[in-house]
Amino acid sequence: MTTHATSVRRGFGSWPLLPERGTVSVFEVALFAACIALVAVRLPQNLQDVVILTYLWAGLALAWNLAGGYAGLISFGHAAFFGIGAYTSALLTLKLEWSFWPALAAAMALAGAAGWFVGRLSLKLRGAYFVLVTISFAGVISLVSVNWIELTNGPLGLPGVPAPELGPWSLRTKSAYYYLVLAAVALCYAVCRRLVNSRIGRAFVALRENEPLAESVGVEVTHYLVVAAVVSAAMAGLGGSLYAHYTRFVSPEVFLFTYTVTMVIMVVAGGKGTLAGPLVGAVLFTVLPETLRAVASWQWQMLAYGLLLVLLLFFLPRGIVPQISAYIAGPPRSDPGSRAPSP
Amino acid sequence: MTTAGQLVFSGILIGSIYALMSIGLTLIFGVLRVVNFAHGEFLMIAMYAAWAMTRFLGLNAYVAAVAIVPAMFLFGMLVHRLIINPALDKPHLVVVFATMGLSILIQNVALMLLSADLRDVPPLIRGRSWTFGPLYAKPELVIGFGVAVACTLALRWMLQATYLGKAIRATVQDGEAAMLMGVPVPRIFMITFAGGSALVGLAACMMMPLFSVFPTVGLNFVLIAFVIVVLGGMGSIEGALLGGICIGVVQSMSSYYIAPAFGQMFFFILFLLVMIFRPSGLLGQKGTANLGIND
Repeated sequence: MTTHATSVRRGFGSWPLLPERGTVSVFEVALFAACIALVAVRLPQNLQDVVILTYLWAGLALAWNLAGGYAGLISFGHAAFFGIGAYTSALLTLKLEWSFWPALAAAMALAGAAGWFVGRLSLKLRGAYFVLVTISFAGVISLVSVNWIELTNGPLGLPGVPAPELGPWSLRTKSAYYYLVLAAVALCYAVCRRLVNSRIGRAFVALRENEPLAESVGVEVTHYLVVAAVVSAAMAGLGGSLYAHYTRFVSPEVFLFTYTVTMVIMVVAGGKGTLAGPLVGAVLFTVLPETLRAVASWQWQMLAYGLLLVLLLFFLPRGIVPQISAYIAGPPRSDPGSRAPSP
Repeated sequence: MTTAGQLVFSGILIGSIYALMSIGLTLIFGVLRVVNFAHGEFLMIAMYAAWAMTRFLGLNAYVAAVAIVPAMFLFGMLVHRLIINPALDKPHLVVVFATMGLSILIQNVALMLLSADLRDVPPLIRGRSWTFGPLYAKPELVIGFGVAVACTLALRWMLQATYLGKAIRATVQDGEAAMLMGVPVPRIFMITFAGGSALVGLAACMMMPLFSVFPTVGLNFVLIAFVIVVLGGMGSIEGALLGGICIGVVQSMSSYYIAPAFGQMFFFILFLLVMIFRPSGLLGQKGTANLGIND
């Protein structure tokens, strides 16, 4: 009964299994415990790799979801923030010999600043225009990384990014990195969850659903959209920094449009504007390509993403998680507080 | 002075061809309020078709247009039927995702079926330029310019004078009222989308003698098309011609006086500047940039 009441009050996009805000649900604890346990069972090296990548992608998908899923800022340039994070962290540790942690913070700050810039641009631009601006922004950044050879070493990239260190320990092994990335994703998730269940998150959803109406009841449009862009970009920057120190190599490939498309497809498939959606999407779209890699090339993957993006919109427009939770919750009741599910 | 004059002249010619490529995009936006992110891929398909007809049937690209333009019209009808039309009554962003997905799909199908090699057609008139007083131009550029201007004028006339054009304009002004007056709005949408695709097919035939084609060629040109369409004001046909010529002149000047390597970055930055300071374009109406909100 409580779950029903919660889902009705939060409306479309919530996960009815989540309890009241402030408390942590059994599912979340179980999931986190399962993630920690995963490393204890001593997975083979290549599987550990898949799991670490899944976490990285989960963080990126959560980041995209905050701007795209909740606030309705559909960005097709998130690879820019990811890449800015990766390059900042790599350059600071390589050229200025900073240690990992301040470099990580700087990566998030710089990516967040880029997000602020794009968010300010979006002052008057919405929908398709915003998509175009984000694509162009990512294009500029990517071209800078290729052409500013003195700084970025151009297309050759920066090899030898050092492994992070925590006090006296070097997080060089996969299982150590596993915990680091897991902690980062848990942090991203916690930030998203806190934001979404707060006044700010409600403002995001209000702006996404009906901007003029939200504005008319006093939601400051620019303020909230910039907040969404900054937090989302900083999270993507965090992912970029972790990625750089994990692969130990950064090249202009981090700006590939493919990365952005992967974030988008994860969120769209999992469920835009839900907390669980990006996690489900990240698991699906990291594990599936890795298992299919033996039989299918990289181009098949992109081809399938394009096809899926079109098909999902028509056959599963809300994504997996809202569809399942709608199924569990049963048919919508004629409660004045609930919104009819979109067709 | 002659150098600058020559650069401006070449810029105008090449810019008009860019404009021809962008008219379809602006037409579709103006009527359906849909930004077709797969526009560049439509161009790529048509360019490959023109290349294949030159290579295997021995035609030249201009003759191939006779077959390619109707074929692209049909292709546009198909895409509209399968993807655009079902997405139109859904929230605005569904169309964005759908055309973006289509773009990724077509591009990767092309990468798998056709190799990433650059393909060209041989020049039509070898080694000779046409002279206009002190100025020189490639014949293909002059032909492209003529076709682009003729197309703009014809489209303008069509929109002003014919029944179809009046129906399109009525749909743009108020779709519901137009429907009440007996305008078949869904069919107008289909014709516009297919017409826009046919125009990009024509542009591809004009461009094939000048540029190479490869699976990701659409990415390079769609960017120029977006800059032009935004500069000219989304939905404005004369604006697209003007915007195209501006871009052409700027491009030919900047690649001569500044390094051509920065050309692409320059487009992105120009685009961002236009978006920030004049989102409704040079000739566009105010408020068009806000159209993406909740519709």
